Amino acid sequence: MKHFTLTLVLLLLTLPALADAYGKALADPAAEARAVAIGDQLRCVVCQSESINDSQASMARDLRQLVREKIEDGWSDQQILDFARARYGDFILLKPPVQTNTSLLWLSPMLFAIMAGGVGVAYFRRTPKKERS
Amino acid sequence: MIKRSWLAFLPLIIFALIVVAFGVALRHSGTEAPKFAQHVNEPAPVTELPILDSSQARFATKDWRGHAYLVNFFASWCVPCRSEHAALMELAITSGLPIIGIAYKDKPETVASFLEKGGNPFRTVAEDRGGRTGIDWGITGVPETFLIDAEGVIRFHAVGPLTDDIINRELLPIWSEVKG
Repeated sequence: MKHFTLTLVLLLLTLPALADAYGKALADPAAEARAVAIGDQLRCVVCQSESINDSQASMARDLRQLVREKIEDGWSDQQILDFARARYGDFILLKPPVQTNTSLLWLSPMLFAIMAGGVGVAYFRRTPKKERS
Repeated sequence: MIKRSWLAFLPLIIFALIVVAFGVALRHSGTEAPKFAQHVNEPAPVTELPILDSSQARFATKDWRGHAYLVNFFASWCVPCRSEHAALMELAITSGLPIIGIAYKDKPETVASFLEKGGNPFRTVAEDRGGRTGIDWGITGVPETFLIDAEGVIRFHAVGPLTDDIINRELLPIWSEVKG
């Protein structure tokens, strides 16, 4: 009896899963995996700091469905990302593309590493061993 | 020895330089928060949609070639659309600018009663029930408004409700330029 009650309670707890909040998944697991991977790269146009996979906005849901339809139509990942980018601009991509106006963003870690390396080398060159702390 | 103590301050100096660079960048234009694309001066998407309360007639952007017009994405469930409605009514009456309303993800009955209550500023009301046309136009919500010129090019795009200020200072000058 105890087990039965527990099972029933647990089953009832899964009811919200029936709410079609995420939208339909594709039947083919490989295609669905592609859809999820693409969704992770697209910014939700409503909430802006979430991917469309993480967002509950209805527009994010529409975009998830759109990605799946395009996959079923035989579009490549790049074609789908380009489709979104043509409509919403670079900002729809959660990972900024490497291009002229983002070069400082992408190159700055390297610049800082070189600068830090330079400081380090200068320090070790100029400081006698016993004075290093 | 003197050289080494100077080196100790190097990180602080670099930090100060970065602070100054960021401060300068923040104070100058072109450094506002990133935004989704605005499609001004790009061709309007090719769109064809059913018209509200009509089984046959369709709204098609290609039929509007040669005319300048306004496209307004709205919904009866959208609160800012309600606040915008009076401004749209006035615009429709005073400017002569044809306004196409695209009811975004809405039911025909609720759209009809919304327009019955607040008045209908639209020349044509098209229905984008699935919201796909909205995505084609790159909208991030409702309301959003586009002014399209006779060549089918978007000349003005407003995200969010139109206000009298936006209409008078931005929209109407472009309209008088494109109405031909």
